[in-house]
Amino acid sequence: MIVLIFTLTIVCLLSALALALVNIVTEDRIAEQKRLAKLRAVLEALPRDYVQYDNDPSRDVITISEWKEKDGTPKVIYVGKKHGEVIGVAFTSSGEGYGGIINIMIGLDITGKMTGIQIIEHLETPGLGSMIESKELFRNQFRGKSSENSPSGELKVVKGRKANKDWEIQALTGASISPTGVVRAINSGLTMFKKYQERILAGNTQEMEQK
Amino acid sequence: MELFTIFIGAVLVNNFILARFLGICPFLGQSKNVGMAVGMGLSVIFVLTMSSVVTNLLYAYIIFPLKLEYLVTLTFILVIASLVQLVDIILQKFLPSLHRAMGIYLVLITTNCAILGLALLNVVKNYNTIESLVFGLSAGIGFTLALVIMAGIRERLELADIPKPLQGFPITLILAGLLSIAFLGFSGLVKL
Amino acid sequence: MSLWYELRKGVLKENPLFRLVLGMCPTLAVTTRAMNGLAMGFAVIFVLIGSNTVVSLIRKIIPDKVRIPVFIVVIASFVTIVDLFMAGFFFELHKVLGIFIPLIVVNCIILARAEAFASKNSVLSSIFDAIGMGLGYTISLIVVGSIREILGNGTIFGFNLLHRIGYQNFLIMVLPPGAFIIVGLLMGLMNKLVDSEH
Repeated sequence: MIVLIFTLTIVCLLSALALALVNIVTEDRIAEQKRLAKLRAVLEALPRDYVQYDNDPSRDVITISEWKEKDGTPKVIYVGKKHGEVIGVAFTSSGEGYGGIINIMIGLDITGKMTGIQIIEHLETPGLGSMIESKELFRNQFRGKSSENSPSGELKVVKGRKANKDWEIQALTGASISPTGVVRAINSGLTMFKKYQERILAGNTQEMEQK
Repeated sequence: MELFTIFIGAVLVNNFILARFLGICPFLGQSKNVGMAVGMGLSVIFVLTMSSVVTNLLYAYIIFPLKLEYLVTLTFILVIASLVQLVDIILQKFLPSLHRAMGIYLVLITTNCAILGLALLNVVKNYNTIESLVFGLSAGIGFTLALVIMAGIRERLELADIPKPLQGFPITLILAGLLSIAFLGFSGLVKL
Repeated sequence: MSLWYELRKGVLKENPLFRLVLGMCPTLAVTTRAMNGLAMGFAVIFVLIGSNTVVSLIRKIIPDKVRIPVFIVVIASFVTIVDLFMAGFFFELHKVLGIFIPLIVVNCIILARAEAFASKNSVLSSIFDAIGMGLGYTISLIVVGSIREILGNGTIFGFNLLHRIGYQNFLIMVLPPGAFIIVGLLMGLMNKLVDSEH
């Protein structure tokens, strides 16, 4: 009996040791990959050729402790600066779609106009609602949109016709609930942004920790 | 309300077998008749609920604080294997007839993707202990539901004339496909 | 049995998925695209080779009563290694395959080969057994994934195939029901092929 427990313990310890070693070797690489994925999302939402910043927004961030994420951590705002002045921001927001929560990255310039979005994760129906992510035409229409002149103060989804106004977003053919979810996420993000707008635009960024 | 959403989600909308593909092996092997299905289902509910809570506590109090995330796979499977052994011993002592009926299938629950899958999903979804308890229980109920429905259908299939190559697993899989289509009707029922 | 036989049997006669009915869960879940099948297949081959090798190496020193837990620990370790490796070098694929990478540890194929073969045979034979079974499994995954991708998405390995001729995606193929039905039909086909051989 003792031999059995002893053998098993030794095997477990050796394995745990081997895994700890592999972990040390891959740790940094994995963290870097996560950072690159985040950077890609930020770059999609805040395109460098459109908002000409000269810093690395995935590293220059502002944290707002009053604006909490779902797990309680403070909101991280990715800041694009030109010569030290804030010219654009990106941050994540979420809204209820058809199959679940849609998580997106929103990009804004300092006037509050949208510069783009990136769909980070979603649970929409493949081939239908999932086109919010796969159809470039859908994502590209967000550039330049703004809720400023909107009668309701928010962005709105329109079906069946083209989106003529600044605050209108055209739905996908055959799927309007998923785009509505995306717009929901944008609207709630915009509301929160306006609350802390001054603080964000002051531009006191910190270096983002490599976790 | 949140807990109810988890329940409906796990039983109907994202049924562990018909939508998440977790627990297929016992689903194919143990669905020949309703009796077996119920027995298997109950054991799975029990193991799922317990392992859900235990692995959740393990993650929250040891793995996460000590940043040992890379040991999740190893520790979770060891916990599950031990729990199943425990259930095996307890059943042998207190319900020997059930133990004999289950035979080797009880120990095979260890390799049931549903158990480890659920434990991992708890981590992904960031569920607290109560939520993981409900999740485990609901997943088990959903599993049992799919299993019993399939068993009911297969019992009737005995009388049907199935082409030889399709007999056994192939026809079961195709049936599962049809069941899965039916369950797709539940999507949108709750916001997950 | 020759080493070549060990390799061949995994592909047809003892195909782990269609004949031995092992590894069903990940197959149904990840084969929405051919690429996913390929990635999962390679991960499984890696774990198979690793665990078969180690199990074969230590087969004479591990007491019989603890052999299953020991096998599980060995397999879990290799699965973790492949998990970390993919997170570091194939981030997108890692995200797509999700929890099914750690779930390789309960993929019956691996434990079955460790128990049925590696614990009773030499290291070299075990390695070839692992490669054979792994290849057979990978090929099956790619076949299922390709069918589902072509029918459900009109593409193969991401390359546009059917859209030029105005193909309308048969959406159900990339949803759960499609997985069940395609694998079921393929299994029936395999049965027919093997039976008619005799």
